[in-house]
Amino acid sequence: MLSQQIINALSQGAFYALFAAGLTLIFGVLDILNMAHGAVFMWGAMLSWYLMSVLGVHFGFALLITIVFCGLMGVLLEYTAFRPLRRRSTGHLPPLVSSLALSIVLVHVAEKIFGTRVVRYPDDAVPFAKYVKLGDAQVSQLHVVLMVVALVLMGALWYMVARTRLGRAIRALQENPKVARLMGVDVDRTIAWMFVIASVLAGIAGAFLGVAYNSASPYMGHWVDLKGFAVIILGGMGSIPGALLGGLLIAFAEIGTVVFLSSDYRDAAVFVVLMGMLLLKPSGLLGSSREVRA
Amino acid sequence: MFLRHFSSPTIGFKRAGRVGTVLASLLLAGATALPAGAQDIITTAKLGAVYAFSGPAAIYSTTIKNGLEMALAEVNAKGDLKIDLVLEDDRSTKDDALNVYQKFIQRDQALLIFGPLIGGQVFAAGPQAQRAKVPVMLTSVATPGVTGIGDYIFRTSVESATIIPATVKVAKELLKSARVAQIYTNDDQFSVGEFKAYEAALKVNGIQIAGVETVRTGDVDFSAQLTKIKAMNVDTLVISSQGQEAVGIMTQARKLGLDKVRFIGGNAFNAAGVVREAGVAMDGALSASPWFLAMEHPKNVEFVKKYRDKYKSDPDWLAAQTYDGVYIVKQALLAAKIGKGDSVAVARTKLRDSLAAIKTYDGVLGKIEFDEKRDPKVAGAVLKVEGGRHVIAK
Repeated sequence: MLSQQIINALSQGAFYALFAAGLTLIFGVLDILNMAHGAVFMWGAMLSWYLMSVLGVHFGFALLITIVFCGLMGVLLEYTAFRPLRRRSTGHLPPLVSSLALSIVLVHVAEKIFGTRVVRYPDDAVPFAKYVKLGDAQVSQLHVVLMVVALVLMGALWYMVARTRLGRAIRALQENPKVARLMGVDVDRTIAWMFVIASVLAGIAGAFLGVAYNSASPYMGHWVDLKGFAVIILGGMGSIPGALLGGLLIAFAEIGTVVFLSSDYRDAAVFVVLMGMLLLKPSGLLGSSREVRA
Repeated sequence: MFLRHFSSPTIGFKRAGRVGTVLASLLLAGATALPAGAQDIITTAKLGAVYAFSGPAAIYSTTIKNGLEMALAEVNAKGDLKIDLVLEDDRSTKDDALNVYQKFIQRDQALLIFGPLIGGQVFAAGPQAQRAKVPVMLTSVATPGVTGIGDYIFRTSVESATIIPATVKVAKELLKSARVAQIYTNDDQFSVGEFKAYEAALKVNGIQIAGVETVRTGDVDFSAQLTKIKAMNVDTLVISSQGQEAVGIMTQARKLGLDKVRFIGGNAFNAAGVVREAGVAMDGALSASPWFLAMEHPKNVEFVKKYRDKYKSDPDWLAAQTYDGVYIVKQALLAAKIGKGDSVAVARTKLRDSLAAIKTYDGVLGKIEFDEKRDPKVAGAVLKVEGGRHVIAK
């Protein structure tokens, strides 16, 4: 049964990591928590559900539309919640509040369009629905696909930040926005792209989570937001490999608690791990403690 | 506003003036009311109803709304008493339930409040109605102890603990089950209540509990708990949770290879929506229900027929409890003889006393007996899911 639990933890961890990757990207550069990340994630799930079960669109195609839509949502986020405040250099707190406000609006719009119930996917619409026996463990093909997708996307994200032109601009911004601007980096454009990328990742995570657990609702973003914040704190804020590591650690902590202790303490375990990390290494596992230099 | 009144130096005069007016109007009212007699009994009663028409608990609300609508239409068509009902949604939250209660009590001046849907919401909003002395009729809450909030809280919803022992007995005979595990939502009072009732009933029947796992409201991944339960090698899993979690637990259990395990559940299992969403995973599941479609007493036969004609679907126990609730309130309203001149406060107290005087009622649920704590007792039925439908377990 332990092999089954390890597989459970791996797929859970992959999902946490995929969700947290976008959060950590934004945080690493702008030093702000994007509170609307969970709302975009929820839209990814609800929109793909709507396309699949109401309009009868195939999962792959629904995923494509979801990606485009969530990308646009990222642009919306940047233009409404972040850019106007950045222009006024308001500091860290106002964007946090404005993104929270936007997330509430997004949840309400979703309530109006999709209804407020937990929705289920039609049986024949779910891709990779088969389960494979691996020893005494049952492995869902869909969960395997989710793990692969998460790994590939995070690899791509890491490559983008480390190797491409956009990535160089992002790293320059992270280092020092003013100097980056002086060196000819189009700051607004770069940040807008970051929101597009982060929101696409959130949307993909939502679409996959919805089908993987056959459950989606306008409220599904709330608990994911909390887990996402825990993941990036644990992994190190701003670090993409840190998000992967943090996601896996949190998933293993949760499932380990269920297995060896009691499911009563599942959520508590996460936050005990988190507090321990904050006490021992506040910058997180792979986070670099940034010094403020004069 | 009140503050300003009290700090005003002219308060003494104002008060005296008011008392005088009140006295005069009382005298006048008394003089005109006396000869009028029976004609001055109210013919319209304003009531409030608040249920979760959106949010996670909305899965239960369709049949409640139908039962409410159907009973109201019948009562208002009969004409001896018109019920003017204000319907509100609390989005399944405690906060909104509390806000709506406040609105009903103060702005709408409702004589009685139906709902809310979930026990946790009642524990939040109920005390407010009790303090304001406004009677409450719950038609869906099966959580233990809600009527303990106070003597203004009534219900037609049957507490799971009173019908759960029967399920376990049937289950024992059906399955000869020796190994049972339990899983429940540990942050939901209703589920915890059902869990404890099952735990006690299992022990009484000498059934060993192999292990207990918990989930939390809103969870979607139950694989870790279910994998652990799989390792316990049980033949029966008792699930005490709300509908959404129950559906997730049952469908994921099958996928993780717990294909032979029989599910036993509480109230959530009785909801048609849960059976539909869980699909084949729920085949053979047992649950205790205060009411069942195929119960043969005439009132129920008539109710089911009318409901099917009107809504082209089957009612469930919530529709039945709500339908009976409206009729019990109507009976109490008539018996209370609330005068047109009665203040809202007097009318509410009269209605409460009159509700408390109803000790038995023959309704769609069968014979309901109300105990000294205003909790209903019914015979109930043990249900089994067969081919996506409920049947009586034998």
